[in-house]
Amino acid sequence: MNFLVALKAEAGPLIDCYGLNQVHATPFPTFENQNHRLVISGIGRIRCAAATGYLLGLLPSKIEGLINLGIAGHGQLEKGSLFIANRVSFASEKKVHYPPQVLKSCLPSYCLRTCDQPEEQYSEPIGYDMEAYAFCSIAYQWLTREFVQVLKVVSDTPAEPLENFNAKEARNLIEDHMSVIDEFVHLLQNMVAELEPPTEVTALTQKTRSLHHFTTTQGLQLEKLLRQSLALGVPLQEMDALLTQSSNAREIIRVLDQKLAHQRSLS
Amino acid sequence: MNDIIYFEEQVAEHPRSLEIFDRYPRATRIPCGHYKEIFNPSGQNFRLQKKKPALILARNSGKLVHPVPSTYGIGGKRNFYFSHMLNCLYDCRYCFLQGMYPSAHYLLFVNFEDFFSEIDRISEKATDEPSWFFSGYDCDSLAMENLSGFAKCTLPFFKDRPNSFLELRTKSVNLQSLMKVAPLPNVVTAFSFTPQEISQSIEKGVPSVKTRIRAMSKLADQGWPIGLRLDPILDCQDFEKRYAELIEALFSILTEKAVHSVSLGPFRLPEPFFKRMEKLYPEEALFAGNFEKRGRTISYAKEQEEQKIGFCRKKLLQYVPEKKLFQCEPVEQ
Repeated sequence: MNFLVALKAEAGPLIDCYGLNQVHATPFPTFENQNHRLVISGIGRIRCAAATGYLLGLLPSKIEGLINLGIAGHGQLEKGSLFIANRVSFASEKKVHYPPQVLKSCLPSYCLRTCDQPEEQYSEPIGYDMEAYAFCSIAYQWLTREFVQVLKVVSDTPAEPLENFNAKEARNLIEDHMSVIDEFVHLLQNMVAELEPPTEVTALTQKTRSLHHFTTTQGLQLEKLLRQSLALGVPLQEMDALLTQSSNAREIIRVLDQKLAHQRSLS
Repeated sequence: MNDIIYFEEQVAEHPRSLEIFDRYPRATRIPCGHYKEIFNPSGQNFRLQKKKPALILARNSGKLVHPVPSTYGIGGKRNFYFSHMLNCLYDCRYCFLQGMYPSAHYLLFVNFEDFFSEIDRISEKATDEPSWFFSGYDCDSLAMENLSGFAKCTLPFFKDRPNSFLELRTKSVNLQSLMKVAPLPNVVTAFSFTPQEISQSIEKGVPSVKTRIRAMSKLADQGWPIGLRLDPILDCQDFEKRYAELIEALFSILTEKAVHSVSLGPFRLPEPFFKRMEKLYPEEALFAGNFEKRGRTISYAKEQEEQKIGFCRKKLLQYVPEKKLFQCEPVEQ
């Protein structure tokens, strides 16, 4: 799971919860462990866009979850409330983003408007932040939209405006919700995992490709045949046995295809 | 269902929208300028959205009624389709909607009356010839009746237009809107079937074959014309046994007189749709079938397809005359 946050104070609870270690200080502070990655962007759309692009460049594949977590103002919710953004707009942009709400999460969802200056009027019953629009605009260029989500904790409201807010409070606001955030992270991670290729297919593909030269197309054909064998209920061990008897990529693909030829009807 | 309802601002006050808002008071309502902002963007994943589709309420201001390919009719010469809704309650693995639309959200066009005006305009172009209107191409005509009220609204319209024919195509047993009114000879309710074992494994959410046959039988008993659609015909183990059992089960409760038409359709998909669907569900046995590319269509190998269609055709002819039997061909070969 990957996180994009604006402030070090917002990042703190995530770094602690997942035991992340700093791996880069520039161009953006970056923290990692084996399963998580976090980048601190700084405040505002431009920094956020640059940091999101930077984070996307670090990802090993397109099958990754990405969350923008941070604080936001809100015209209706109370300070300290956690919500998901279901509509992300920016004043001067006609295009609006609608992060798909497909996770079965109990969190409430609200519209969010990204602004270049902190919002002081709270004119509508929606959230106000300074990064999410840029985050979505960049993240959607690369990742499946369902994998990109925006979570915000309310830091300021008409009753408790920003002028009374101490930036250090951000840490506490996030920390108070860490168990719910972690639950959301798990839900998203499970959804991401659903699209990952089966590990046994990946392992057998890699093993076979290490033994023979495969063109890109042949590599894809091999992976497809192995996935089809699973789909058709043919154990991979049977395919593996055939692989070891073949001497080159073309032969391997022919033999595997032949093996499946008479088993391609629905059971 | 319907935790999230997106709505175009222009239909926020439409009576049908208001009724739906009332029915789902706890749903989160999200306004949008145009449904395409939500439905059309690339990078959405149909499979993931299918787990929790949202509802989108919109007005269709584009072309409302479209001509149907000449190979898809059931006896009429003037054939058209219209879609008051895009996407379906059910999750059938072979369904072309997965390959055609970037989103799995239910998109309901609330301006039914505009569809009716267009149907009238088209029908009036040829008053001496019946016009057929097919409603279940891009959705199931009846599965979401409780939400849309589509049949309830559409039946009175067709009641007054005996020269315009409607096909409601469905896998649903939600037939109350029809059962409550007197049967209309110009409205055919067409039920599509695959053998029970296949249905169970690749038609998620669809009532069992037995349940659907029972519901269909009640509708037939009331005098509604019934359509049977074996489309797509799917290659499976014990093919002849399974399809023979299905056909026998259908005609064990239906008389020939109750059946308006039967149509057979081979599995066929435009190649780009097939590729998208295969990518969405690489673990699905259906897409590992013995397919070939003919023109721009992916189908079972020609010989295999002819053999299977031939078998079903022969079996069906034991129950219905040839004039009631139709075969859907791919548009391009």
